[in-house]
Amino acid sequence: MSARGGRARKARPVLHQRRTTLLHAGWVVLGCAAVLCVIGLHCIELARGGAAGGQGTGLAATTMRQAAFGGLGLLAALAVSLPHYRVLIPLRWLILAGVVGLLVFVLVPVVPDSLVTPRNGARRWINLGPVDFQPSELAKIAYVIATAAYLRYRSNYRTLAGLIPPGIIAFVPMGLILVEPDLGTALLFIPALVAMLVAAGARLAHLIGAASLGLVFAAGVIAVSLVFAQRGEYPVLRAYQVDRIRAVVDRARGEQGHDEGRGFQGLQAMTLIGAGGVDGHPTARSAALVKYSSLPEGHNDMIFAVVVNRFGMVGAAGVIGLYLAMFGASMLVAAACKDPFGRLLVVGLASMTFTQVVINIGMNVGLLPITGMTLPFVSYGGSSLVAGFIGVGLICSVAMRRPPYLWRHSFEYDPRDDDEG
Amino acid sequence: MRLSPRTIIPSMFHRRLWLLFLGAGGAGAVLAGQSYRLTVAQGERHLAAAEARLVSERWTPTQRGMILDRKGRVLARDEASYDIRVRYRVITEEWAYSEAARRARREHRDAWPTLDRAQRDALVQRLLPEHQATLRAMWADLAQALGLSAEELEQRKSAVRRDVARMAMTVWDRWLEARREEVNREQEVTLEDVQRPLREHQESHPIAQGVAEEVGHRVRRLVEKYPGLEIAPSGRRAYPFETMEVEVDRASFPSPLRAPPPGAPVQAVKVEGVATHIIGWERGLAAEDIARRPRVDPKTGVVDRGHYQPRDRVGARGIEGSHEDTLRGQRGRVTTHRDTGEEQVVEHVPGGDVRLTVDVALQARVQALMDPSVGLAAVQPWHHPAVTPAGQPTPLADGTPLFGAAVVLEIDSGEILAMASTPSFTRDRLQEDAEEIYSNPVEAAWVNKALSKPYPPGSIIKPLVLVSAVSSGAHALGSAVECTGHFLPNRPDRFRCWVFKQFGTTHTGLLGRSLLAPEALAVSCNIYFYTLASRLGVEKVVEWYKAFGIGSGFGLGLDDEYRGVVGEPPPGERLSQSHAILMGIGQGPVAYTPLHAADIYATLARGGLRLMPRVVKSAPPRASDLHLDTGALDAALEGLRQSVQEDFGTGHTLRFPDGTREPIFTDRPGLSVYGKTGTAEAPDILDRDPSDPDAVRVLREGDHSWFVVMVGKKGGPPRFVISVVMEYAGSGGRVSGPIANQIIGALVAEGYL
Repeated sequence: MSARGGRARKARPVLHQRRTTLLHAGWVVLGCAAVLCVIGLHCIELARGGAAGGQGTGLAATTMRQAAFGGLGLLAALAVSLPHYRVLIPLRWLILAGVVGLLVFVLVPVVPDSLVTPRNGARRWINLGPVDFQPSELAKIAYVIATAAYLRYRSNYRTLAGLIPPGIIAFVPMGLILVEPDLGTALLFIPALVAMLVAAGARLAHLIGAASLGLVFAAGVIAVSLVFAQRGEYPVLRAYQVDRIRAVVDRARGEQGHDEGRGFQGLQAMTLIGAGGVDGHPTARSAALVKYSSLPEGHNDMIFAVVVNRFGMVGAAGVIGLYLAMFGASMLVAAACKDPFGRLLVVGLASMTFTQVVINIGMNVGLLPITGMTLPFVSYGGSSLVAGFIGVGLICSVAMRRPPYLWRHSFEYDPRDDDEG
Repeated sequence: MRLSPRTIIPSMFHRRLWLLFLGAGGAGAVLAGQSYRLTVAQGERHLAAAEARLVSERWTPTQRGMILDRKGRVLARDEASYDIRVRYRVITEEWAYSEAARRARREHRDAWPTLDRAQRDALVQRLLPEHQATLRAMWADLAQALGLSAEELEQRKSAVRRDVARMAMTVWDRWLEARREEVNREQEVTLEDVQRPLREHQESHPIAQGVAEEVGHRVRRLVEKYPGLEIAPSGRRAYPFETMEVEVDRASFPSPLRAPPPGAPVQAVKVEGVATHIIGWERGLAAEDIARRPRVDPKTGVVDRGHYQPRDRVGARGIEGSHEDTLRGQRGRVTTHRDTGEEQVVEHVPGGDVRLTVDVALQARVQALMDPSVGLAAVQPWHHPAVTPAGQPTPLADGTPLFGAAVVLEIDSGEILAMASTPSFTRDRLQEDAEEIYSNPVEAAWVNKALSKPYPPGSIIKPLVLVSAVSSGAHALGSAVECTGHFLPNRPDRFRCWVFKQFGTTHTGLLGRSLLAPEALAVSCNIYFYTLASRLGVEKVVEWYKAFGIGSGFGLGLDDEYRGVVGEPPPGERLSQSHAILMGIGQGPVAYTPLHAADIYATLARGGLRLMPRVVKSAPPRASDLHLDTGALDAALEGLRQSVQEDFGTGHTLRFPDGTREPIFTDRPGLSVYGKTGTAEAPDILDRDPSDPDAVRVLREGDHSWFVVMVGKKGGPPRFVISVVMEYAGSGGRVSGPIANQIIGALVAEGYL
């Protein structure tokens, strides 16, 4: 129920008027994000402060920047949540086109290096003076908006052919991000699409079939790569990618031959995680363990290892629990929403975030190959953090809108309409 | 109503949300499960691995044990020495620029951000000369402290820069390749992207290594004054007796050599490389060393504190090589806790000392006597007839150096007092002139000729044949043998006596009687010993030779002991009676070393007790009794006495071309000398031209000259055996004899007699 003046409203109900509420599950999402962000700040300080040798007073510059981006993210969330989310519907193609434009921009070779500085050979960042901006982070949100809008009043996704257009929408930004190259981020688009299709009511048999096909294809690519790698050839995946896959395969088979080389990063992360034990270590000790573990990207992709080293199994369960709570609360927001666009928007954003979490933690604990991907809200990274909070803002925007009393039956696929049952 | 998801949750959308949430929950559970596995189930192992990284281990060097001579003189020891190292940035003089830039920034701290690049550069350039001058002064002072010229120092600096540049290029190339593998667009990655400074660019590099304490002291004062200069302790192996000065008294030399050099009653001889063959040297580390003693045993996991690390030196050859594990010692270990800075120190354990039976002063005297400059080991006009008889090898030019070996053995203990092999060499020469030492076929300097080179025994084996034949009952001591000139009545061309070959006569003819044991030995009658050997038979001869140690090593702990061979005829020949006959005079299928010769005489002198020769004091004595006939032993000793002390003995007289003669062994009051000459047939040393197989130059031909002497107090048993072989020095005792005589003098001079 509305938090303010419910009685007054009851007295003079405006049946078609749009209503807002402050009592909604979006707060849980925001709260989880904020707590994760604080954990992230603590661990970034631990990883970076330790790296700086603990000298000097005050926080490491990295931590300060991350805190500033956190504040900026909250402001962005607020700004995004205030307008009604439905304004996005008419803007969806504009937004998508803008983001695609940015993605193309980073790839255009004539763009000067001062604006797009390749790092480690990858062109992912636009240089905006003091901050760098990564368009692929925005692309994730734009893509969810566009797909949600596309799927909102349709039911042709019940047919196999109907699955193709959303696939094409996904393919454009995905392809561009793949070229950057950023395989990890590109891979996030598929689970988000699948989740939105599931929520929209696509046939599970189709999705499972498509997913199986995808898995078979991926398994084929990996198998072929592994076989060719034996001969020193890398026709599909690159050598370092094959190495990272092989590191996971070997670990699963109980081989520990990767102290150096291809399994190094993953092994250091697993060692740090394991060293956390049940309840972790005090800050100074944990900082020392992290500093001398030679863990690369300790403040970034591998921050989960730092979190668990600091807080132990308790911290691991807590962080995973927070993400689950965040996802669950998002599902509640979706459930409370009657508008199909709002529903799919929330499902898409939450799924994309959660998929990223699963992949990131999965590679930290050694279940998945290493790929460059941040842990949302925790890892260091301005674009990632702000984009994450924009997503939270959008979810809140959906959450705080109550449907007008006179709202038609929420659109959803009803199997009773379908002769196939 | 049937309970199903559809009836509980009517909305399909809500059912799908549940599905998604359950999926997420499942994924979360898997991640949490794996986290649990790592943190709780495997936590301890991972914690141990993480904590191990907090600790850094630094191993401190070992201190190698000493090698001492029998009187406790230090033949080899580790000396404190220092490595002088300079930071790379100082070597390249980048330091001057960065230092100037740092000072400029500090002095203009407030204005600095407002200055443009050119203005900043101007400020830096103004300060630069001062820092460059500091470096110039440093290099000048360092050159002076190290005793190097400016050019030498400059060469060492450029050598460091060259090495680092070469190594950096290799590493950067590898990084570039790896990076190109990793990214899509090859053209985006250039060498500049990967040119990160290497550790070598930050570190210091050696400018001088192993400098002595006083140089280190001088440099230490510079370290306080100049930047980037470091001094680090390092071990250096010192061989204090490597080069010794020995006074040679010529009073008892053969008369043509007796005159001392003008103005000096005694000659001072500088002996370079005293006992190098015995002591050995050090070499650089090889991969096998690390594999032999790794830091951690791969099977047991035990840490070996004596393990090898790069830049370690390893004992090579001689005692240094064979007693490596004794001498090496154990490293110290400094364990640093990197988080707290706390250090735990385990001190190193110095290696054990090895004491030799060798007397280095005696060794030096022996080597001095065998120095060609002294004259005993050089071709002299009276070594050969003025006109070479037909069929004889052309003599070497007068003054040509002769090389060989000598062993001095104490009979009672079996201890080797001296073991010389000429030419010897210093360890510095081994560094500078390795090619000459290892490949000159005439000198064969690196071979320990006393121990590692086979020589046919020749006539010095005859006492062994006598004692063996009598002890096994093949020959009665009292039965005389007639010297017939040649052993087979119808074959005057085979198995001849030397006296028949040289003078066409026989010993029986000269003496008017058949020969008995002492006399036969004294005149070295071949027919007598052919007869004894043929009576023994070939198997017995081989058996007796082996009983005296030919064919088995000594286990001295030095490298490449030649074990000796006996009874192994050339390929295609079967061992036959004629081999037995030849072996009766030390020819045929038998070869041994000067140490075998000394050992056999010592066994005879001990009455048949074989005591294994030793060169390391702590080696346990090994003895065995050969059960020899005492009568035969007495006869042999008497024969050896006559050989060198009676006028008719083959080892008694030195004859000169002018017809004069003198005894080889000068009269030494109170001493008894016993001995035997020998001649060993030797293969020619040829110099083949690889491009022209027909062009063969004979470098050496002829026979090796043997002499074995036993010496003791008059009336007492012999106490020392001296065996000498001089290569290509011709037959008889002309060269080896006087050297053996002088070694007796050396034993007297060192107080042994």
